[in-house]
Order: sequence, then structure tokens, then C-alpha cells
Amino acid sequence: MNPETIMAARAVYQKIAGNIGKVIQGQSGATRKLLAALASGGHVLLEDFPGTGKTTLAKALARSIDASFKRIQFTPDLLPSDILGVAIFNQRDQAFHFHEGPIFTNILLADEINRASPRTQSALLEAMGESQVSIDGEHRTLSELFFVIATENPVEFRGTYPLPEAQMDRFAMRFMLGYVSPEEEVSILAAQQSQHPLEALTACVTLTEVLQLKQVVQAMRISDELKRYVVDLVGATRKAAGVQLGASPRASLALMKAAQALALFDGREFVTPEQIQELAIPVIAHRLVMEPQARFAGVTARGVVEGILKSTKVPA
Amino acid sequence: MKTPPLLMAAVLLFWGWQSDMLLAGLGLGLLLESARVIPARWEMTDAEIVRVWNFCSLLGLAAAIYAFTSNEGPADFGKMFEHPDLQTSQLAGNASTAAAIGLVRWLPLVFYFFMLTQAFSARGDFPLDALSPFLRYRRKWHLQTNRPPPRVIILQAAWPYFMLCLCAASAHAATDLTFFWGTGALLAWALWSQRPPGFTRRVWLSTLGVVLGSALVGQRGLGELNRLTNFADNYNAQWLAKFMRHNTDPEQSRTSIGRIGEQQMSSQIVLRVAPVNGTAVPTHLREATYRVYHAPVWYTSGTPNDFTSVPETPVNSGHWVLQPKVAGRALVTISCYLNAINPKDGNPLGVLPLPGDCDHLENLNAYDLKNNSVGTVLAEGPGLLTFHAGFGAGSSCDAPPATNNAPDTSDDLVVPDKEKPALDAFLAQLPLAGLSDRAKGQAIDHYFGTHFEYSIWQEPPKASARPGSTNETAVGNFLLHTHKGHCEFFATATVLLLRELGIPARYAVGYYVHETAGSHYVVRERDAHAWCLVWDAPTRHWVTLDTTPGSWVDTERKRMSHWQVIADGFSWMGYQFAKFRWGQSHIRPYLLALLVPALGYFLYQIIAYRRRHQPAAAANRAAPVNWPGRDSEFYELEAALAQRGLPRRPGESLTAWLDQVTADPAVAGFQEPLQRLVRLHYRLRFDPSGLTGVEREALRREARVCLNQLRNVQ
Repeated sequence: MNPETIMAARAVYQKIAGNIGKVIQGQSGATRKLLAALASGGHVLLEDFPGTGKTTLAKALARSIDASFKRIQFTPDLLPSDILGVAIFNQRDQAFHFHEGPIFTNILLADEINRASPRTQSALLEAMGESQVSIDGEHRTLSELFFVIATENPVEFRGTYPLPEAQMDRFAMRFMLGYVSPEEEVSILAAQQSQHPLEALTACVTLTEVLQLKQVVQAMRISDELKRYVVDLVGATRKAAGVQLGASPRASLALMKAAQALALFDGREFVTPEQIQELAIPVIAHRLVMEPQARFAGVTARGVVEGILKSTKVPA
Repeated sequence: MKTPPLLMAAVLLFWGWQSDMLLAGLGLGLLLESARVIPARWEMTDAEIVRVWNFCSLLGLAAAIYAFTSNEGPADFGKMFEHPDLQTSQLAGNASTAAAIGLVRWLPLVFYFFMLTQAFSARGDFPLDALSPFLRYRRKWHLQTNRPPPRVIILQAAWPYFMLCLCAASAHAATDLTFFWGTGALLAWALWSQRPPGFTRRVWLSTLGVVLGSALVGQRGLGELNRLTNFADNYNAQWLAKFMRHNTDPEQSRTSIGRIGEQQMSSQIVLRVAPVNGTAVPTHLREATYRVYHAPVWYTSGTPNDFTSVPETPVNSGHWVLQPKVAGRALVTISCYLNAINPKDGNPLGVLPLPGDCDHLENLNAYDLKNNSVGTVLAEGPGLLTFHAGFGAGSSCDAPPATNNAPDTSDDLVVPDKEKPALDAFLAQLPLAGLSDRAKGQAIDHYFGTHFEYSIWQEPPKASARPGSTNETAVGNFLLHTHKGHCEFFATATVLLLRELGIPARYAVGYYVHETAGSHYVVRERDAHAWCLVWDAPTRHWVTLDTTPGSWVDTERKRMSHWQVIADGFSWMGYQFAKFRWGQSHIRPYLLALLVPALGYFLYQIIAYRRRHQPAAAANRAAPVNWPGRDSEFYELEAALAQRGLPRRPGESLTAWLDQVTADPAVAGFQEPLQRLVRLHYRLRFDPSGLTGVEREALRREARVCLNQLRNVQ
């Protein structure tokens, strides 16, 4: 791959990141991870308290790309057909016509995903895993760029259903935004004094450019030793104390791909251990099912992955 | 530690005080509590916890061996295996008890290291798996076979260690109440910190008071009761009166003759009898024999307590000879409890139920054995005796009836005067003229069998129906009117009738053996029986003559409850426990035999664990050699920096490490060249395209330069 293509792809990343930075302040780390997921073809689950900017971040990304964007507000009475679409009988021509649901889009914001019942949440399984949906026995392929950003409140909140493990595993990453520093919060207040900067945001890259970015990311080089490191990290979760269900090979795959994206963002042509370490927690932690006993003892999935990162010998 | 402050120090101090190691207890306690003020903590991995636990277990093992050897254990056990007899097994038992007490006292020391590492470890708890290799193997096996691994159980060491210290403090020699009050106070302290929130302080305190009070009353009360029974035992001049199952007294037997109403006996199992080598078991096991009848009591004779010691030949062999020069044909195993206590030395005491013609006893672990002139055998020994009785000799050790000149001639022929009219009236009904002595007995037996019936119910005599017969005795009433009675009536009547006919006879009590349970027989309290011993002049032997109609066994059996099976089960468990308690089973040697392979396995586990894991660790280290770029000169730089006290942790990446390193002012100037070198090094290591020859040379050169400069910086 010639350096110009790589430079162009990196420029696409920088443009989107800069555009989002106009709206979301003090969240460059979150933006970086979000774009890494987008560029590596994974989906993202944002978990945080209400009002920390999850939806704004998702909308800023959607507006930055000249692509179709749809949003589903998840509620307890939402049905799978509300997401996938439904075939309706037309009396005039005596035939069923399929009405596409919001899932037929490029960027899908699944807002407060854990407020819907697991049944509805599961409607996303096939779409996220295989980029296709089966409705009435018919396979319909989704568009080439299909990126789901889901937001959720912490599971202990009222009126929430925990996501099924299989659904959790479909998300490449889960991370928190966290509260910003007081100075940044003051500048958020200043920015939104007259109008929301989101409304002024315009698309800065085209769909084609994003697809090219994805292709470049796939071509980033990664050595066998680091692939082994990825597998060691993921494999260690299956043997860790207090973990009932360790991470799947899908986690290894997602970690490698996301690390490739980060390598591109960092201006490298190959993956280094730092990129893998940076992404290990957001990619692995949410897939672990902890034992109740360990959970009561205060052991968290995040803590387990941190421990594994510390104890596993990093290639250097 | 989740225990209240200073509680662990207090319990260790208490343990030290009770074990005469006051200073040690104080020091250990303060060291443990210092964890509350010292913030430093160790990061303990599971593997390290396992190692500490293994160390403590080995320490415990060593302590056990030391306690055992220092209490003459090996010598005593060796003696027991060489000459297994009562004295040596007692000594061996004492040695193991002393060793166990010593070990319990040291347990807080043994596990102190584990507790200390727990107190100073960052996590403060440990997984249950750490304590047992079996649990760890189970987890590993689950992982290897892709099963869901078992739950991780997390434990805290502090509370178990607290209880351990209290237990250890209990192994003290003091007889005063300091242990009681100390334990009470410490437990109250511990419980107070854990009290449930739903109870008021008053309820909690009064509950504690009730518990402590009842414990105190129980402890003191037991002592008082013990003193009272001792007093009663000593006060009772007739010291033999207390020590029988259902009051079998070798001196006298109070019968129920003349008593009205139903006679009740329980179904409790009192004896277990098993044949040896398939021989038949004797039907009658005699406990005592009596000669003199004063209604309603049978007495031994005019001269009480004529017991003489039976020699054990040879000494400590468990072989006791009752009748020299006679060899019995058959053996039977008998297990019986000794229910009474000899007030002189506190040892259990009781009469042995034996076959009538018993000649010797084998494997009898009695301390002392006595018998009297009428064949009653009195044993002093452990609470349970299991022995072989040799019988079938045809003769018994009972003294023969009066010869012409002996002073007690009359005893076996005496008939109380007031019984005589009824006996004569009854004998008049029997056609006995011209019969031999033996035939006369059989005729009486036959007559009873056909004309009388067994009954445990005694009606009151109908005095009004027969005026003028108010002087009639109970036996007379039985013979002439009711024709119903239990074994004591039949036996007494038979003895008196035979004596009236001029045939010497004695009254015997014991058990009738008939109920099988598997390969052995059980004898219940209601199988207690009475019969007659009649002198067979031609053979010069006492012969058992049981004239009670055979239906008595069925009558008694009908009264058995359906729940008897359950009671028998408990009785069996009690019997097994008694066997263990009184050293009549072979569990102790088995325990020792089990201990040896267990210790062997433990040792193997420790050694094999090391051996198995060393190659694996070596393989892990060897693996990275295959990766490209391991010859990078950057590693020399890293080693040089590590020597300066800036080592890289295993999970730390190079950039993160460099950030740490360059924060050091001495090395801060190297930030830029180091970062350049890392970039080159990373390309060499992780870029599948690798470095060009020029770049590789540049890495080598720059690294050398940097290394030299670094060495010049102090």
C-alpha cells in the first residue's frame, strides 16, 4: 500500500476527529476509540450516566460523515419489527410490500439500548454480527458501512434490562465517557450559550472516504508475536479467578482490528504493543461474565483485565 | 482484617497466658495488630498464598511429629505393635492424647505466618482453592475439559484464626475458671462487633447473660452432680447393688413374684452374641446363680461376697481360665457393657453373661476378674467388653451341692416352711413315684408345659374365693390356682419342687438368646430370663432346666414396637462408638496406616508440583527466542537502565516505561534519542516488513552511543 493512501486515510480520521472536537470537548480519548471501532468495522456501546454526552457524541459522528443516519429510542414496549421493518399487505395490488425499518442505514444510534426487552435487543444480533437481516425468511443485506452506536445507562438503574451475553459480544468495544474537568465543563457552557454547536456541524468526509479508511486499516501490518500477545491476553480471561465466562475469539479479532486502526491513527504502519494495551479494557472487559461470589467480593471485569495486563509479559 | 481493633491481639495474649507463653502471645498479637497502623501491603497472588499455606501445613506436620516423638509416641506405639495388650495400648493412647493436646496448643503458632501474610496482603482474603490441591486440580480439570469452572469461594482468615486461638487456649492445665471467663469475654467482644442491627442493646446483653449463665451453671452443676454420686456410691454399703444391667446382683435377686399387674421390660439391646467358626450359640447365658429363697428375694447364700480372683494366664494375654483341666469344644463371641462403677477406683464393673458350662475366656481386656462359688463372674474393665467364651465342656465351675459334712449343705435343699403345703399339694397331682431324679425334673417341665401358660399379667389372688387360704404364698397361688406366670414363677417353683423332692437345685438368672441379626445374635433387655439349675447326681454336673413354657418368647416378641428397627440402628451406632471408645476395635492402627500414604501423597504433591512447573516455566521463557528482532541492541540499553534502579515491570510497555525512566532527572536528557531508538526497535520487532540494512546499522550504532553516554552519566 502506497504512503499516499495511508496519508489520505489518516487525514480522513483527523478530519472527523477535528469535527467531533468542535462539539464534544475533553473527550479526545473517547473519540479516538469510537473512530477506531468505526474504522475496524466494529460496533460501540457507550455506557455512562445520563447527561454525559453519549448521544451528542454519536450524533456528532453521524453528522460529520455524509451518510444516512437513523436513530432508535429504545423503550420497554419496542418490538423487533420496529427495528428491522415489516411487510405490509397492500390491498390495491394484493401483495405484501416490505417497509424497511431504521436498521437499513449507515450509522444507527440505538439510544438507551438496555431499556428494551432482551427480545428486542436480540433483533440486532444478526445485523451486527453479519451485516444482514432475515425477515420473513428473506435475507436482506445491509449497506457496506453499517455502524451501530448504542448507549446505555448502568444496569443498576431503574427500568433497565441487562444485555444478553451474546448481544454484548457483538459490540467490539464498550467504554465510558466520564465526567470532564471543571474547566472543560465551563467551556461547554460557553459553547452552548446561544445555540448547540451540533446544529452548525456539517459533514466533512464522504461515505467513500470512510470505506477507504476501513480498507487501509485492514492492511495495517501486525506481527505474529503481537497476534500471540492478543490471544494470550484474551485467553487469560478464561482462566482468571472469579470469571465465569471468559472472552471469545471474537474478542481477539476485535482487539486486533481495533489496534490496527489505532496504529493508523498514531501514524504508524504496523501495530505496537501500546495500541493493544490501550484497547484491551474497552474490547475485553464487557464480554466477561463474573461469578456472583467474585462480584460480591468487589472483583470487577475491568479489574480482572487490568490484572491480566499487568501480569502478562508484554512483548518489547 | 475485619475483626474489631485489638481483638486479635487480645485473643493471642489470652492464648499466651493460658499456655504459659505470655510474652510470645503479646508479641505476636501486637505484630498482627500493627497491620492497622502500617500502610504497607504486599500484592499476594494466589500462587503465593498457596505457597504460604503449604509452608504452614508443613510446619503443622513437623509440629505434630515433634509432639508425637516428644511424648514417647513412637516407643509406645512400637510396644503396642510388638505386644498388643491392654497396658501397651493404654500407653499408646496416652501418648497420642498428649501429642494431640500439645499440637492443639501450638496451632496458633503454626498458622500465625499465614494469618500475618493475610493481614499484610493487599487483598486481605484468600480463595478456598488455596487450601487444597484437590480443589485446584478440580478447577484445572474443569478448564481443560471446557466445563464451567466451580465458583470461587473467598474466605477471610481472621475469624477462623480467632476460634483457633480460643481452642488452643482450651488445651491448658489450669483448673480455675479463668479460661471460662476469658473465653466468654472474648466471644462477647467478637459477637458484639457482629451483632445484627435489629436487636436492642438490652436484648443482646440479656441473651448473652443467659448463655453465659447457663454455661456456668452447667459446668458447676456437672461437678456438683459428680460429687453427689460419688458420695452416694460410698454411702451405699452394698456396693455391688448398683452395677448390673437391670439389677442383676450376684448377692441377691429380687423377683417380681407376688407383684401384681404387668411386668414391663424394654426392647433395648443389651448383649450381642456371635458364633465363632459356625458353632451354635448357647441358648442360655447365665449372669448369676442363687441358692436361698426368702420370698420374694433370692440370695446367694448365707456367706456373702465369697468372690475370689481368677488368674489371667499368662499375664496380659487376655486369657482367663475358669475351670482348669477342662477344655471346651466351642467358642462364642459376647459383647456386653459394664454399666456400674467401682467406687474404689472409678472403673466400670459388671457381671458377665456366660454359657453355663463356660471353662475359659479369651481376648478379654478386663483389668480384674472374680468369680464366686456359684459360678457368677464379675469383671472390672473398660465400659465395653468383647470376648470369646469357651464352652461345651459339660461341667460348670459352680461348687457342687453340699456333700455330707459341708456347712452349707442345706442351702441347695432348703424349702421355706410356708411354701411347703402348696408344694406338697401340687406334687400330689403328679405321677412321680418310681421315677429317677432326671425324669422327675422332666415330668415337672412337661406338666408346666401342658397345664400352665406364660403370662406377664398377674391377677390379684382371690382371697375371698378360698377362705382359709389367706396364708397362701405367691408361689402357692401360682401352682394351685392361677397356673399363669412369668419365668421367675416357673423357675422358683421348679427349684422349690425339686428341693421338696430331695433333688439339689439352684435358681439362675441371665438371658435367653434367640433373635438373630445377620450373622450374630442380639439380646434385648426383655430377653432377660430365669431358670433352674438341677444337680445331676450321675454325671455330677449342674444341668439347666428351663421349665417356662416355650410360648414366652413369642409373647414377648409381640410386644415389640414397629419402630424398634430405628432404635436398633441407634443402638448399633452406640455400640460401634463404644467399641472405638473402649479400644475394642482396630480403628487406631487403621488410622495410622491411612496417615502414612496421606503424608506420602502430600510430600509427592509438593515435590512433583515443583518438578512439573519448572519445565513449563522454562518453555515459556524459551518461546520468545523464535520471534524476530530478539538480537536488538536496545535490550542492552534496557538492562543498563534497569541496573540504575529503573527496571521495567513485565506488563509495562516500552513507551510507558520510557515515560517513567525519563522522569528521572539524571536520564531526562536521553528522552529524545531513546524515543528514536524505541521507534527503530519497534520496527525491527513488530513490523513484518522489518528494517533495511542501513536502518538496522543505525539502530546498532545509536544504541551503542546512547549506552556509552548513559554510562558516563552518574
